[in-house]
Amino acid sequence: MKTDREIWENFKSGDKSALSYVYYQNFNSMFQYGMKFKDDREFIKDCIQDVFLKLIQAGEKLGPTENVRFYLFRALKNDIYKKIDKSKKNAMMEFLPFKFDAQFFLEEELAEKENTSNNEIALLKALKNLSDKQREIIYLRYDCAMEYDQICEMMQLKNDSARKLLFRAIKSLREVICDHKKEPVQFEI
Amino acid sequence: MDNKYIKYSVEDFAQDLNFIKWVNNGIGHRDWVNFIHENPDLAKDIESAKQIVNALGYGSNDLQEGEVYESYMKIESLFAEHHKHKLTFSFKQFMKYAAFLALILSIGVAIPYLYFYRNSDKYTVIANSISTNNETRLILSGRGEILLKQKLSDIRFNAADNQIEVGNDSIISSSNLDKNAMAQVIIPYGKRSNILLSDGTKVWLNAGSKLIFPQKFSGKERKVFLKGEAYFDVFKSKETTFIVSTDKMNVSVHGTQFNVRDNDSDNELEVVLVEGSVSLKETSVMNMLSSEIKLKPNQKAVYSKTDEKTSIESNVDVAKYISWKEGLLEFDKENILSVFKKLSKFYNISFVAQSSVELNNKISGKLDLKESLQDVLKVISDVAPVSFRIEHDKVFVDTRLNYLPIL
Repeated sequence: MKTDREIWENFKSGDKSALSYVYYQNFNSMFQYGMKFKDDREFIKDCIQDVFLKLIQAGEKLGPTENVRFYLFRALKNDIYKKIDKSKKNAMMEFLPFKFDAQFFLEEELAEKENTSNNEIALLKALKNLSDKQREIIYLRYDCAMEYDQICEMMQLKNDSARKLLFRAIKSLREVICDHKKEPVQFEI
Repeated sequence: MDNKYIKYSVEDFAQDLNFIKWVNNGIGHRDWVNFIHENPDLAKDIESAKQIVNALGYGSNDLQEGEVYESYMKIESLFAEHHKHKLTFSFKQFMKYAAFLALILSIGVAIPYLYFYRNSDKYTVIANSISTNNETRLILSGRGEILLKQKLSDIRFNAADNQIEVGNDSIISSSNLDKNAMAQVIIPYGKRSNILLSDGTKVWLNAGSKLIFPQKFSGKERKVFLKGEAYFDVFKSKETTFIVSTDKMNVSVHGTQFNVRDNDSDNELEVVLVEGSVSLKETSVMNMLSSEIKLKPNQKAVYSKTDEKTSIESNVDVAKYISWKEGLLEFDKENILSVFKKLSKFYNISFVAQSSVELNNKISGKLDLKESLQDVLKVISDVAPVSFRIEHDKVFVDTRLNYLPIL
């Protein structure tokens, strides 16, 4: 089983099968990640293509990497930001902080449900209270299984800040899910 | 199992990567089960942590296989240009099968809508054929595309000898069947293919279907992507799961035989289990909310794309669903229009009829599709009040006036 580093080296030197491997392995997760910054399928697909194009053009000049997915995510985030920034400047919009506008699955489900229990209402409230930064950390940790140092690099945070943000989020959910008797409450979806 | 976990709080578990990977993907299941067994006082905390991990799932956006592939083709051609990639491998044997084509940028299919006048009658298409590109295509990433002319092609990914065999004689050998490269088999209407994957799994791929898979499986998962219909005889492996991924569902098995049908033109996805056990999970829904559905032999799961609900039927006659792979079509009180649609795909011919023709009759029986279309249609006209005429590469369906129902 080739390591990420080996596959990356093959990719840099023009091995087409390494390209197809890297592409197919990562396209979907890059797409899911990108869509959380901007809900526009064609735009995100274009960004992914541009990322790969730039990588192909850089060829041998690319640095080495131990983690291909992380490398691609970072490149994608940069590309999306650049494009959004550019369009903002063109539209002469006020600078708005970038959003990570991803809804938790439960947020949609519970919002639409008719007979929600008190626990479910409390859970929905806890989820809604999570900040954009927390949502992004949660996505990178839970959906992308990234290590803290990678998350910190992606989000330009210090290690302890990232951990604090995540722990705070988890704690707020724990308070809803466990009642004072420390019994986990089961809720129905 | 690391000792650190004994001191973990609910929050500690909920943010731990190994824990997350277990809850979301089942990785290290045995280890965690043993750990809980040995530390029963932590069971409640672990349950809470599990609930938290499940609650922190995001919805995902549907991405169709075709979208990824089309996007990839554009990149690959630019990649080739940039590296001035020369396709260097011996290919002489393939000249038998037709010219070697450069990779195509997109898979577009034109479906002609035909509208006829015959004297004063109007015939409209009730079942479509596809007129462009009648060859089966085997696309190997990084190497090119081969067209196969046979009605029933035979493709084998021979991991032991590191080669890809097509039919009885043609072989692509490589110094190494590339683990990182994908392969794709696209079957047009009117053709079928038998594929042997590198792990020993056998796939019968039906007309109008597409299968994307790694040339050589490696790692913990054997994953293939299917659009259309295929029958799988999965090579048993306790260590690796075999996953059939369609747009809507993932079917996971360890070793078993089953049929999957997920056509674009259908409103439903169907999985029929012959032997062994499979579990189904929706692809676009987060783990917590899509329960895994387990099938037992002779059960059929039908997933409605409109309702997004799955129903299970037990004790089905599996022969009815898999007879297509032997070239037989079995149906039990099936709508005659539906039968025409299947024949249209199998023979790649359009069926046209006047609006006055009754197409709702139900028929039962078995057709041997290895016979000529004429013979097959003769059988149908014996049991339904229709007559057929094959003209201009189309089947004209008319009402049979001297029909006497067989009582």
